[in-house]
Amino acid sequence: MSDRLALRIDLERCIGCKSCEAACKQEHGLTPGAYRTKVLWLEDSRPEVSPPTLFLPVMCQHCERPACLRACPVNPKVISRDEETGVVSVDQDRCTGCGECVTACPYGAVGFDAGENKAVKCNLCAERRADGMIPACASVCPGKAITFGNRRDLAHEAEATGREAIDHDDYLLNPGTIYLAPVGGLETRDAHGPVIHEPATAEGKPRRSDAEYPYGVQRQDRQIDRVVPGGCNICFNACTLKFHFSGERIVRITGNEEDPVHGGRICPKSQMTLQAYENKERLRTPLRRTGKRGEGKFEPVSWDEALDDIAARLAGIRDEFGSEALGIFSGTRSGIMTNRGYVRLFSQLWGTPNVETTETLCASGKNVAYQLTQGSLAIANSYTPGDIGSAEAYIYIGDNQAETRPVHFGMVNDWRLQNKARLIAVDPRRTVTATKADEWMPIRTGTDMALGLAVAYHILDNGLQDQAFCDNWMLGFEDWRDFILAEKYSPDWAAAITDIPATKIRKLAEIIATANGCMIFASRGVNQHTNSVQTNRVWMYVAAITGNWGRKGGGFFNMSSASLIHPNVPDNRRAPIERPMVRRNPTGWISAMTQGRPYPVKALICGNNPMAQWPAQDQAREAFQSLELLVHMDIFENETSAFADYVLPIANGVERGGISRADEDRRIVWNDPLIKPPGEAKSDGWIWIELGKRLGYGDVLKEAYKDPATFWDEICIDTEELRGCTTRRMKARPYRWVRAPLPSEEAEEVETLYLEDSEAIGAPGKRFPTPSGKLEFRTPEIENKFSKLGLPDLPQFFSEQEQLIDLPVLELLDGDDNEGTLSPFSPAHTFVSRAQIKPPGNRSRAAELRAAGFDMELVTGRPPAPHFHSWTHSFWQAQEMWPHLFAQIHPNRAAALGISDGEKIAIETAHGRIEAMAWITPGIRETSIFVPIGWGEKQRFHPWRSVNFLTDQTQRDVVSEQVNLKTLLCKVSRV
Amino acid sequence: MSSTLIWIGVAAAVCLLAPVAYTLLKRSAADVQPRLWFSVHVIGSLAGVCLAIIHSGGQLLSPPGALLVLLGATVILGGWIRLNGSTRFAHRMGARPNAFLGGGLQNRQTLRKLIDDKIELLGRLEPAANEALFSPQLKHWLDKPVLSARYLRLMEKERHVSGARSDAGAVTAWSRRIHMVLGALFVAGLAIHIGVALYRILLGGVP
Repeated sequence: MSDRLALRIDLERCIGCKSCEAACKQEHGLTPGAYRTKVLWLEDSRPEVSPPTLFLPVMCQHCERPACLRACPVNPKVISRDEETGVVSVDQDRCTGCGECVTACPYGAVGFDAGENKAVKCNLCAERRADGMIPACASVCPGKAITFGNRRDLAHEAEATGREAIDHDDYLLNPGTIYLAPVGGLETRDAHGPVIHEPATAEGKPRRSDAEYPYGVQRQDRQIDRVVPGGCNICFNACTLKFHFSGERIVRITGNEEDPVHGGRICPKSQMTLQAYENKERLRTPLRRTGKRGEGKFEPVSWDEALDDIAARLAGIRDEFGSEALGIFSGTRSGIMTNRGYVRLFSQLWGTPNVETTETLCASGKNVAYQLTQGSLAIANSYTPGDIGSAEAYIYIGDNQAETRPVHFGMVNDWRLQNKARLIAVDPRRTVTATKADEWMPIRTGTDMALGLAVAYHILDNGLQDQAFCDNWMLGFEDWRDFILAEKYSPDWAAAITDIPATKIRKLAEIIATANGCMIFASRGVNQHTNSVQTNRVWMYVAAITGNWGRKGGGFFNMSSASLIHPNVPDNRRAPIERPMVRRNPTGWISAMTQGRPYPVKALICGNNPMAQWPAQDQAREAFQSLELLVHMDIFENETSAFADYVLPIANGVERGGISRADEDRRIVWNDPLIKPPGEAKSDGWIWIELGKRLGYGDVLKEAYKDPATFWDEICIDTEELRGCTTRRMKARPYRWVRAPLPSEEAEEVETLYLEDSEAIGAPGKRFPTPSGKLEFRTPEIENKFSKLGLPDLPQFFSEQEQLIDLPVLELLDGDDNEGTLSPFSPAHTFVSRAQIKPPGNRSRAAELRAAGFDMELVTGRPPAPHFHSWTHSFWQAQEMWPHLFAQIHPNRAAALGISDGEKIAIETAHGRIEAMAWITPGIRETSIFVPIGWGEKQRFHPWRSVNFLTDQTQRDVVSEQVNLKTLLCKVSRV
Repeated sequence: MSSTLIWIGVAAAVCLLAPVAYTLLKRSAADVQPRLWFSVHVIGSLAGVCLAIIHSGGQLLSPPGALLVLLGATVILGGWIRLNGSTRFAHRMGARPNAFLGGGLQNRQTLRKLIDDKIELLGRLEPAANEALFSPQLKHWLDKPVLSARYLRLMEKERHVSGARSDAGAVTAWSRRIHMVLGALFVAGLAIHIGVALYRILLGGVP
């Protein structure tokens, strides 16, 4: 049949992000438990088969002999097959819910809406096709894994590119859907998903009644009458979106197919923000605490009551303890404009240095390293075919891009396949990113620096470096080279430390050195360590000596490009600050809160969820108990709210407007305020301005700045890098973004920064915006900065305190209750501990812990793509996709401990204990266990205690104040 | 038994005709709304049970009492299927991942033979029909019951080879069919009960 329509699903491109699932439920208004499309994560019972992990989108196969149709007992049949297109559809208005079609389908591809008691199944989005659109799943797929079209054409295309279609017609039904086998072949036969992935049966699972508007609403009652472009405000991918309205309500969120970069591709998170806007759990009114702190008892109050009292109490605290006694912690949900704009201005007017975002929990190490080395936080490369898309090799070091920025990884994976580029993933886990790699290198956590040093050693020892680049564009090349060679940081040396064979290290070095364009990606796996800055600098050195800096298709890319917003209040309005910041990392304020040392912090205004997010939860909670005033601003009530004196409801996304998150490749996406926030919720900017007014700051924090566009254009972009990023320019484009830096509205956007013969914006006559115009690895200034902390600037290897082998470690010489010294790396005056690198010894902390039975490495990190910290846990569909806090553990270790898949287990470190569900997988080092962040004990569905009860805030990189969240010794047992 | 209780019994029987009507109408090609009739069968059954209990006067330890127990079992199972079985159906989505991976070549020959047999049989049962889309309907059962039964047997064999139904588990696969068998047994018992009662009335006695 020549007109037969079909989906083609490329298993090499599918990254299991479940964006198709989210799109399908949006399009068809499906509620919890009902699926037309479902993505399965599968592993074979034999770990040696290829591929080790498979992501399988399941939907109706539109068979020529549909078993479901024949099983239907109704006459005329409820299920029909279109003769022309081959599409098999169910008439839901006539379905009696007998379930015969469900049990007849040998593919398990017929869904069922238990609430409505009827079968639901894919009809290739008949309504969309009638409007000339492709099915929803294909329209959003980040990896371009799902393609829609004429079946014959799809088959021919695949054949022409040498891709093999899986013959899955074992039931002689002639299924229409084409599945392309992974490039490495498909040996998997006995596939099964982890137990934690199976339908949730525990209490607290999302129910039909949890699905707010527009889910569960008939299509005719959610007809779209206008579409407005904008962007997602969740993660660093900064996807461009279209908001579809029915009247004044958003009924659908799709990708923006007019975007020349993303082309409509989005991950599930963007789509599930739909579940935030009408979420019945949203905070709607200011709340004042009535019970004990931590108890969670509140009464609603008016904004005036709340803000008047907060202002009065803040003034009292300032009178008694000084203005520095106020700490401000803001983060993702507050938004970049709030963090870098309103909060920054407020803190300058108030006079406190104790202001921080989540940066020291995530990325401060790479920021310090970028600033030292290239003089700017703007990452050079862009996700375009001509830049990142032209690389010959992609190396991921501690960066699970497929789950943290799925759309960008989908693009990279697509380019990899098109260009036959190499992809190597270095990670203790076989992450989704690693499943697409030519090679997964399961490194010992915390030893990426050793690997980088060994790679550099091999390159230098064999003269594989780009000598011209080293000579012309690097300062300190020779000093580093001589040091690395003298210290004998060879692949043989690193093999014992990293657990990666020396031969593989050499091969990795040669790939990086010889590829015509190598992108070295790094992320939290490199950042969240006590050697964060130095590890970043080592990998920067590797990129630089191989010429992979300031070129298309080559670079060191540690996401994301940090925000370039840094407005200031007029000098005469700056309140004096008498004392330096307690510590740059807000968890370093705990002693100041509990003991008043080095000086008291008595009040905290915070966003996000520190009571799940901050390491060392027991101490953090004790600290919050001791505050005199805690104000929590958020969209949902969470663990932190319970400790607050006031909980203030904030607006989210297009309720407040403004820019997206700081994007990886310097794009800034604009959102107009499109809908009203729920109840009395207000934008963060409104709250800071109103609070400021009560403290006498109304002349700077003007009423007009409640409008995000005015605030952006007048305050936020008054810099060389951002001056051209006006709302006018962004709104003139159908996709609403511009790429910074942009010194004027007329300036052209720069795809790749720091190209040879180019001039860095804001640094006339220089290729790189450093004092020398070169990449700076060693200068007297850098040497001096490190020596002030007692550390060498040259890359002397050290690792974490809690390791299964004895390695050099960083020893902090000053506790957080001690002033220490002033940080030479922090832009503001900041106390920091001095430190020294301590050689390995028998009486080490690690040895003590090992002797006490702590025999596994705990690694924490981001969960799969649908989740992002705690707020997505209020989205019913994200919880449906990934309901439980899980702990990935190797089968051999699980067997030794008598743990079965899906069993509740206890994980204990020297700092605390939590429980999680075991996910037994060969995709992790045998000695490691991985537990994701984000879950909390008060979340709406499936509550679990945060993994940060296991972490330790004292293990910090003194250079960046980054805390180690990736390497802690633990013991695991059955519950 | 009082005449009131007799008339309540009559009303119960009328209500309990609703599921029978639903079963037949949805298979009859009549221009009906099956979902509406599903609701009618639920409401009719529930009303019928209530009326039948009153009609019984609490005399469960008797042959008609056993019929009431049968009715109760049918209704309880039906309710369970609606409340829990539907969730089990929903969980079947994505429950057979290995079906997508190929490698099940060993059954293809068996299935080919079954399909050929079906096509051959269909030539006699409904010559104009397409095997790919056909299953016997009420009219086939009435016109050609033997051929229909043979065809159904081949369909069941095909299902068995494909393994989908057995893979769903006995409860999911069979609960609805057991519900239907119990319902059919009840209807048969009810017919006998009505016949006996009418006989007694005609004889001038009290049922």
